[in-house]
Amino acid sequence: MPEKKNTYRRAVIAAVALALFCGVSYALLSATSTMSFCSSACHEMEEQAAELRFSSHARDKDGGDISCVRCHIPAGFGPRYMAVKTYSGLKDLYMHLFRGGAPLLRADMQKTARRFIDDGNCRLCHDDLYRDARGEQAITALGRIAHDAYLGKNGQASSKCVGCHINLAHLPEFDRRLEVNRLFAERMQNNEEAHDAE
Amino acid sequence: MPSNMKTAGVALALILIGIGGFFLYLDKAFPEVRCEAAHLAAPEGYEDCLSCHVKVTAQVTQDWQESKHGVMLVKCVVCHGEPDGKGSIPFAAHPDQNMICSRCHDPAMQRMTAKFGGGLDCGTCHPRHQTPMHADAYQKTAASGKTSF
Repeated sequence: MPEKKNTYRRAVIAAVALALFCGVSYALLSATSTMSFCSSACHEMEEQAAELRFSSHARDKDGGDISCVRCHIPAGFGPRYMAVKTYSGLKDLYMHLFRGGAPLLRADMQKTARRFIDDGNCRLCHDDLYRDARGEQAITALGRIAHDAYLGKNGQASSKCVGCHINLAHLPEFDRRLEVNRLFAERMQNNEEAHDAE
Repeated sequence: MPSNMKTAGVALALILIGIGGFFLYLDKAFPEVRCEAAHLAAPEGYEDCLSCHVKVTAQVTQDWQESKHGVMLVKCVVCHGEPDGKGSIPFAAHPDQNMICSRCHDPAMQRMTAKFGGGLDCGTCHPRHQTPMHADAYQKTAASGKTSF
């Protein structure tokens, strides 16, 4: 009988430990996924957060604010989420501790950022690839051709969403000259001028 | 071997396998360079260099497009070769200029060599992608000074 009791007690302890581990992990994962953590806790992403406000991705189709992780970390708590969360978390920590204060090399950052933008995240809002996110307006003829290729209906495309759709939420100085970014660049320009006038 | 050393060894091995597996998974689930992957994985997909390079090397593409080579539609493969290594031009990001340029510009190159002597790379004076139509060198041949770009 004492042996059985011991096993029972061990099982309870293991279950409590597991629950505690999951709870603490969830709390930490959530706390480090907030907008304020990215943009102000360590100050690294302030510029990016500011740019986001003038982009087409400042708000989602329901009018809610879009936070960093909505695009930058795969949705759900699956292996893709854990892998990206772990990798980018460790990378950010390393950069903050050992490269803190140094100017960010945005051309290099773009490569890493685009690598981890999951198409699944885009498709959560952009379900119908032939209409805009709200489903109100049809996309252009050129867009239909490109999305046909993406969906494998007409040829094949190995580039993911952000392979074509660049500067959706952030616009470094060197990308402002591109025609596709004209509106975004104008909005930022107007803001800077208004800021200077103050 | 004492059992605690054995346990430590097993634990160390598991940690190493875990770290290795993590990076393997990361590499497989999120390929690092998608366009390079496109060169290798989709032989029929890379005929259109521009569709990818207008994004990944935007400056180079724009320079090419505005240059005489771009206006005359001297396409990427003419100088850079094809990614599958077929054709007579070796696939290279930085092609051998003496070999590549002379395929079209041999008469001019011979004149230049006779006049100024050889030795320099073509690109020292003529940057490949950066000889725009509106550059000074081109404007000298314009009919009048009234045209303003």
